[in-house]
Amino acid sequence: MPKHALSFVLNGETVDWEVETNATLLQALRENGVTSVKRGCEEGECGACTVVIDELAQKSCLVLALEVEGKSVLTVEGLPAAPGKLHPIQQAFVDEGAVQCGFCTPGFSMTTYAFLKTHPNPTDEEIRHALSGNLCRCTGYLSIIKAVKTAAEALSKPIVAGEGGEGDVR
Amino acid sequence: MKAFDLFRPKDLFQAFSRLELNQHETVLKSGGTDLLIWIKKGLVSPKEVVDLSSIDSLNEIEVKEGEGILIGTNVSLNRIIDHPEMKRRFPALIEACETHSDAVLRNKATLVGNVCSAVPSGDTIPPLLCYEAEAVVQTSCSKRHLPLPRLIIGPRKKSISKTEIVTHLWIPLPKADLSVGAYRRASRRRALDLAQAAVACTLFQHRGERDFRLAVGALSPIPVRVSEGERILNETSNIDEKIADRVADAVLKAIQPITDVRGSREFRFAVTVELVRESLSLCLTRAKTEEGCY
Ligand SMILES: Cc1cc2nc3c(=O)[nH]c(=O)nc-3n(C[C@H](O)[C@H](O)[C@H](O)COP(=O)(O)OP(=O)(O)OC[C@H]3O[C@@H](n4cnc5c(N)ncnc54)[C@H](O)[C@@H]3O)c2cc1C
Ligand code: FES
Ligand code: FES
Repeated sequence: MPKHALSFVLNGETVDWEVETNATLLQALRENGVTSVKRGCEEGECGACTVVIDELAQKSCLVLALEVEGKSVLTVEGLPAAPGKLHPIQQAFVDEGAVQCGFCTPGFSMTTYAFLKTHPNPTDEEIRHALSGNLCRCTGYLSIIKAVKTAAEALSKPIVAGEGGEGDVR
Repeated sequence: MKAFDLFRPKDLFQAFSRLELNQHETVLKSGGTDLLIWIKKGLVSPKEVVDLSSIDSLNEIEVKEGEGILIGTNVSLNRIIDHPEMKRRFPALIEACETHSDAVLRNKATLVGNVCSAVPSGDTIPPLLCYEAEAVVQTSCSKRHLPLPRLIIGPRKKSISKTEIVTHLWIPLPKADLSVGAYRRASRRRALDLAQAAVACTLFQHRGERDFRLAVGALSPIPVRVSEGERILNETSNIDEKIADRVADAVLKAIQPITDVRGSREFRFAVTVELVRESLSLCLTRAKTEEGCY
């Protein structure tokens, strides 16, 4: 199969890759070292491959790599965080015990990231609904729902000067 | 996934030229949530995929006051759900969209794609039948409106040719002071599962006149309207439980459910009665409580 040029913004930086026409974004990301994006069912069911494309959470196993030409793709590698720190969403998942084996966590984190941008003060029901496309086999979901609430609270706090290092991490 | 070429046209002109060149070995893609799975499973093996998602002009929801709403093939289900006019005018469709897959997949899955998949369980098809939606079917030199019952002619079968594209859906705006509706489906889990049975019930009210419509999905080779059920409802001023039972009987007579991995024929008959009662009762309650929303 001949390869095709693909140019897009990955975690804030323009990348130029060569991909096959039938490659999914999931495959292309993993082949290029972005291994936070997990390969689960590859049928759109589990959400382990979720990334954010132009502000929207998407299951990267159902996106062709060439579809993101000129777009902006965010994975957990690109979640903005102060040096040596985790992004507030990741920290909340750790603090609330929402990570066990961790396989589903990058997908949940990206779904949560896109969701909290549009729902800064979510109800439990809204959280359940937003996360309905991400599966976790370990935690039983309650700790994940709690982590999303905790993350929402952390993100709504005003930034203390100097604390965030590079500024706004949202 | 099996190899295929990918063509990403900038506009419809490029898309039609490609289809005419390659007609038998090409398939169309909107969101791709069905198509990519079908290719992965080997159910279709196209030589080339023509990806309509690269055509910006098909991204729009256009309201033509007093006439109808035009929805481009790239409009995702979440955009339909978030569109205030769609919510106000076509509530049963919104409820069906909210039932479809999950909140993330709905960023990718499109309304037109759901119709074009033409599967018996396609969630948006029963409400679209109630709202008498039409497919806008174009070739490089023609354009026609095809009512959905003439587009979808069998499980996964459409009546259009390989050089035609469903560029939009057109949903007419009927004259009404009030539009309420409900979509109820049975499935094994709430998200990420296909319907075992589904019922859409809609009601338009205009100056005291009522117009009920009723359609079912996953209960016959293609989703269908149940005209006998609609007749009973439209001829009755006081709809009580007895009437609801008569409507349910009419629905049972109109369907041919099968036994498959998602449920048995017997289960489908039984659950349909409940879904009819539920959707009708929701529709009536909503008619009482909603403000004149048209
Ligand atoms: C995990 C998962 C869960 C799902 N859950 C549901 C569910 O709950 N309910 C449900 O109804 N469906 C469900 N589906 C199926 C699918 O998501 C929907 O049918 C979706 O709406 C299809 O839209 P699409 O844009 O992705 O279609 P595509 O995959 O792009 O296309 C679907 C079909 O239509 C053809 N086509 C596409 N666009 C056009 C056009 N403009 N003109 C002519 N032909 C065209 C394609 O060739 C293909 O045959 C699910 C799928 C997955 C993977
Ligand atoms: S790997 Fe994409 S949803 Fe499971
Ligand atoms: S932590 Fe193991 S799958 Fe979620």
